[in-house]
Amino acid sequence: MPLPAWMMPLTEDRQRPMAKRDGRVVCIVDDDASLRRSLRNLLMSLGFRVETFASAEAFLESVHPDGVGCMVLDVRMAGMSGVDLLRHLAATGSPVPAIMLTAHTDDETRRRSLEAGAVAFLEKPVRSDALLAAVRTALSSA
Amino acid sequence: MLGVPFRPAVATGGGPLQRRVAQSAVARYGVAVVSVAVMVVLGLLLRPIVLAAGQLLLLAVLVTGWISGLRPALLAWGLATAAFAYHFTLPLDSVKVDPDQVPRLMIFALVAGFMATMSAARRRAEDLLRSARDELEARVRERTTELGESERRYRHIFDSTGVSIWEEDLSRVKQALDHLQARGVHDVGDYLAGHPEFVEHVIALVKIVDVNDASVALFEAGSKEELVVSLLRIFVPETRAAFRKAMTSLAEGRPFFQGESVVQTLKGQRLTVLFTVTFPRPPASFESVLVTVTDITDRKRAEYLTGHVFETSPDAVYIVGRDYRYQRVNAAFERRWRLPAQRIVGMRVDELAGTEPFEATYKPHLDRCFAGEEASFVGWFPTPAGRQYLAATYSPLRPDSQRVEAALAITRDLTDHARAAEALQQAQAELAHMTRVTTLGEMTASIAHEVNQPLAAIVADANASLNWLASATPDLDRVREALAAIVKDGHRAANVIQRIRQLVTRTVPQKARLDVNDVIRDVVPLIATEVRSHEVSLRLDLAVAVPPVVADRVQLQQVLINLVMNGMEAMTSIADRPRELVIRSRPHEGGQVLLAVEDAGVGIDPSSVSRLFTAFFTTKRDGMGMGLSISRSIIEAHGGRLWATSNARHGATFQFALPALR
Repeated sequence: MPLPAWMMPLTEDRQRPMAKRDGRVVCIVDDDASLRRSLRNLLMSLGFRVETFASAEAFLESVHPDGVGCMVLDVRMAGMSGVDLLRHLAATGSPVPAIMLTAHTDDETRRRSLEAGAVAFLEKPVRSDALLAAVRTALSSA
Repeated sequence: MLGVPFRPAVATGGGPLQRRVAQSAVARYGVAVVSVAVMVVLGLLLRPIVLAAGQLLLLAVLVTGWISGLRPALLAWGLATAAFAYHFTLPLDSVKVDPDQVPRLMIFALVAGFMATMSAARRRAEDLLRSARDELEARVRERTTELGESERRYRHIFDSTGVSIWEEDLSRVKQALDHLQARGVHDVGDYLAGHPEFVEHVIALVKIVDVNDASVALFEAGSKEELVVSLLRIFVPETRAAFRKAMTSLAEGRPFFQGESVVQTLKGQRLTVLFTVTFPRPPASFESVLVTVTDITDRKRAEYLTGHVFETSPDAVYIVGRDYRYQRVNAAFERRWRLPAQRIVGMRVDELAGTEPFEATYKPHLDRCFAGEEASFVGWFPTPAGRQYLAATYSPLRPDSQRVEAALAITRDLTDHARAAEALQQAQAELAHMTRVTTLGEMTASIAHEVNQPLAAIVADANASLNWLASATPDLDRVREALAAIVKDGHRAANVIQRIRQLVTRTVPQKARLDVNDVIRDVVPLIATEVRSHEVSLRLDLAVAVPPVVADRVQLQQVLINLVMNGMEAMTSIADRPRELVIRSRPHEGGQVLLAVEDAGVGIDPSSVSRLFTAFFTTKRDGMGMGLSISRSIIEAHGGRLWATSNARHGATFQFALPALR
């Protein structure tokens, strides 16, 4: 039985790793350790430089000398939520293009995320090609 | 003879003089000498007037024989004959005897000898007679003393015994009954039953001779005289039946009658009594017949009560002997087994109740009872009326000795209660299940998230691995790490699903030994997402060593989830302080284990505190109001207690205590 499309590897991208063309960091902010680690693996296997943060607060406290290329953000987190972080960055004049991840899509959250400046809104488990496309879009929009 | 005053018996007998003489041989022979001498002197004085005065010597022989017996009489005879020959035979005062005087001397000697033996014989006969008389007198005296003693003893028994005794003269009654029989009446009992007027007549013929003190007391009489007037004063209609039976016994010549009846005291108090009459054996007189009356009122009352309780008890009551056979069963027992008592009595317990229940339950408990212990048990047992839930108690019965002779069993049919309890338990379990499903329904989003997280991680890791493997020089270490993470996340997802399935599928409670800390740890993954989405920080404060409890794991999880959800909801509107929820475990007073959920929410509204645990009470817009009510039922079904208190600063603490397993 063939695997669903979202589970298939991206052979095209393996031949053209992004990291060689773009040195900017992709930041993952998620309070779930497993998800943080696996997303980091996926993005690294696609050739991106990755940094992970367990909370929005941890991200805000960190220093980024090379600048942040884009963010992969969990919508719902203990403490400051993903949407709150986006708003905060927009409000402080340093917006970062973000890809929002959520367990299930509800229109209200999607609307609020896009309003706060999100580039993409993806549902977990995230499709590999969709994530790659979204990261590329985010990086190019930065 | 009987009229003679008593004198002590002496073997030799005789009058006072004789008795004194009899005491020594000297005296006895002295009488011979003295009497002969006196008669010689008297004869000599009279000799000048008449020569025949010598015949007075015969008197000496006679007196000696009478007083001293044969031998002294013979001495007197010798002396008298010699004196007669000397003084009163011619020639006078000479040892010589004229030949013509010899016949006279010989006649004297013969007469004197005859008188000596006759007198002595008479004397001996008189002695024997006297001794016989004395002996008889002594015996009569002795017997009289004995009779007196016996009479005294009898009087003492009669008067001092605690039993009422009536001495009655039934001689006229006996005559009347004899007369009846002489007229051709054979069945006296039948006749008496048909002729009440004759019975009244016979009652009137009874003469009460005497009653003892116990009778006076028993019949509440002021004195004996008051009581001996008439039997009618103590008779009630029931007494006449017993009287008729006693009279029938008498007419039929039976030696004894015993019967129970009712009498009344002179003050009208009814008494249940036991009569016994001992009839004399004809031809003895019926003038003094003893009737005893024993008051058995209390005993009868006790017997009645016991019998009444035994027969009318709604509980099955029965007695089983050491041979495991039924000795007595009551009506409730008959109804249970749908057999009459006469069929059951004599059956072995296993024949009636079945071999398997007998060996497994009845026999071990009966054996304990026969060993002297009280034994109780409950359980489901097969009966003709279907399976019954019976609670039984066996008590040892020791009628006479220390040895247990039988077991008294009281069994109560608790089938309806047991069914109701089972139904209630079932309903509670179903309700608990329903509320669990409802709660889980409310938590669907969180639970989906909880499953989705590891799945998302698995997919990302798998994709990463595929990417790495596809490169010219695959980094196998990274791939291996990612695969290990995939396995871990797969288990994590499966775990959550399994817990949810447990909560949803099982309805029959299964109690097992549990550590409450494990229960708390089980629940945490299920509520983690809810905790996050409520922006609550959850803190576990678990005691290092808590004693185990016996409980249904799923139901305890349900209670804990309920309390946690309540706590979190109480904090939804809180913005001015941290929304902290603490789950705490502690050993508790009285050998219990405490589990508490402390929130920092709005606290308990004093006006609703009394309704907090009632079903359908809720402060939530979309709540059913079942959570706390069900939770409390669950905890109480575990022998524990669930309650709520307000915290010192903010919020409330909901806690439950369960008995710890020792």
